[in-house]
Amino acid sequence: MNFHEISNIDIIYRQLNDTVFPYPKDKTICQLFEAQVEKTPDATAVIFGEEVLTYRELNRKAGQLAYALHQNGVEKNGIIGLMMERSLEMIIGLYGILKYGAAYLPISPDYPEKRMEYILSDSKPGCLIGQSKTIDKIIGFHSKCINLNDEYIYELPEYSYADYARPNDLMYVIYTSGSTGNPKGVMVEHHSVVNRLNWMQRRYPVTHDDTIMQKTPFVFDVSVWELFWWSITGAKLSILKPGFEKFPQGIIEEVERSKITTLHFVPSMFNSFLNYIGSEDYTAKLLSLRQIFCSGEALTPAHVKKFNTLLGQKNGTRLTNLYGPTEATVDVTYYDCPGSGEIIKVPIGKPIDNTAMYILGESGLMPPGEKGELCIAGVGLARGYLNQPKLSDERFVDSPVCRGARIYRTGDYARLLPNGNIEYLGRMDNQVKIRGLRIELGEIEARLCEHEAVSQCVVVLKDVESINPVLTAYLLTADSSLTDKKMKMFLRNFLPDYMVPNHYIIMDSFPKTMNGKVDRNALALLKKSKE
Amino acid sequence: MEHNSIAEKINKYVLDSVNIDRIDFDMDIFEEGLVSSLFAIELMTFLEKNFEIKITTNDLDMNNYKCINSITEFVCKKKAGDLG
Repeated sequence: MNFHEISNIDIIYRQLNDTVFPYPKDKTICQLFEAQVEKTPDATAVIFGEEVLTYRELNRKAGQLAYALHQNGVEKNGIIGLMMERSLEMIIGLYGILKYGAAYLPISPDYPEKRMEYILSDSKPGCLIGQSKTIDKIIGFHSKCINLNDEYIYELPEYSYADYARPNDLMYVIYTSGSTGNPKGVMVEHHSVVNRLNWMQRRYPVTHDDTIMQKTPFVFDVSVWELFWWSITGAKLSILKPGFEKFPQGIIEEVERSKITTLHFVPSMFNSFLNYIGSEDYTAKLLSLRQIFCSGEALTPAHVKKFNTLLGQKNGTRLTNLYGPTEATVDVTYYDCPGSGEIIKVPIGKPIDNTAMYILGESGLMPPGEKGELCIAGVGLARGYLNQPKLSDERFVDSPVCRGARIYRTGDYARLLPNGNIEYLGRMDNQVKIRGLRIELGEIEARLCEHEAVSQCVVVLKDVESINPVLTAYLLTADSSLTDKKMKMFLRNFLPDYMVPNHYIIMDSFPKTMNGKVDRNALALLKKSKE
Repeated sequence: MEHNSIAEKINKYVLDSVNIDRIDFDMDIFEEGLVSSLFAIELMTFLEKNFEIKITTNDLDMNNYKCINSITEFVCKKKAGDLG
């Protein structure tokens, strides 16, 4: 490459990454919420079934929880765990923790005990908050537990400690699958979320006329924009009943009832949803929908075409593809899908405000068309992994492009298209996604190998493109009596259901690649042996 | 449509979807890992279209869909109007 070409590449990336835009970086999400409460105290804030809270009411209840935390002597600026189903209490819990100036740690009520134990021993929260449905699951784990269904809380004085938190303090810690056997806690700061939401509001503004649906389980970071965007803009939040996120009927009913305008889908669920509404023409019930955001896995041209026919052209709904890892605060690129015409590719698009995207190869920045590792710089970068300085240093590294800056190495392959959009090209490692849920195959394998009879194992995801992608475990063992049932029971002690393989196949040996490693691709192509 | 032909139609649909030859009518297709939760939606789409029923939020109990027999029972009840 000559000098001329190199400087051309520089110019291309400079244009792509020309994203500097002012945002309220001296504020926390909680301060922005409290400012909104001042502006519209009596506006509807949150809807859950027949229950409704105004901005003033939510602020008061959250303030009462903050006072309860103070009464309990919980450390300010620390981490507070929250185990909740979707409910009004979940929202009160989240905002109460922020009003206390602390960071929230979401814990799924579905986690096996051992996973929860690990997360709690790793993050050492100052207190655990639950509701009547979940309180029994947390009460043995901490000396300080608060049940948000206890009525005494709502008789306490209300208080805000929001100003104790600074913009570069932690807002949340979200655990995601880790390749060495345990999940890892990603630490995200307030100002990163402020920038992410400020960008979304600029680009896709919501007002008091809008209602956002909250359907993503709060242990996944997509939930962050659902949970906080509305509250700093005067819009409303409608919380979908637990379990209903899996069924189009539940989503359609809630869209119609609460006049939902803004909704998120993981593409695989989006596809099933579109198939469902197309079969009986439910589009008339979805007239209020203005904008749909997809993220979590690859959105395909087939999805976009189906959407355009069923919702885009009939109802005027718009579709946006978002991309981003938890380590860079929810999403870092966006692409507004065309509403008509032939669609050949659905790229992940261009960087959001104050964010830079680089495609790096061994020789540095890759020119358009050439594949490399997608790397992210900017204000959305997480602080790192909790208690894992070594892993943090591996993934968050000094930028080879811009001195003094940090970049996050996503482990995703990508390339730059001639029109300036970025195209996602798959994973570099053994991370997979099932219905948008991120899974390190290494985490499952490490657990399997802890079984006394298993000497070696490889887990692969089969039928990736189908609606039934299946995790299959291949085992080397001397114990031929190992059954699917036994192995599933063993793994369910450690792993959430979506990470437990469906099938277990005992092998005499593993196929090997030329350089002697286990050939995962060959295993992925093996026929199911069950029939 | 009588019970047996409904069961046969559902059986054929499930077999085609998971690409196997034979299935026990009592086998829990979700628990056994044959299908994912997304399949439940595809299945509901199929049932609504082929048996002229409407699946409402009151019908979202996964026990209705766990095996060929329970799906058949559910469809028969819906057609008879027992579930409103």
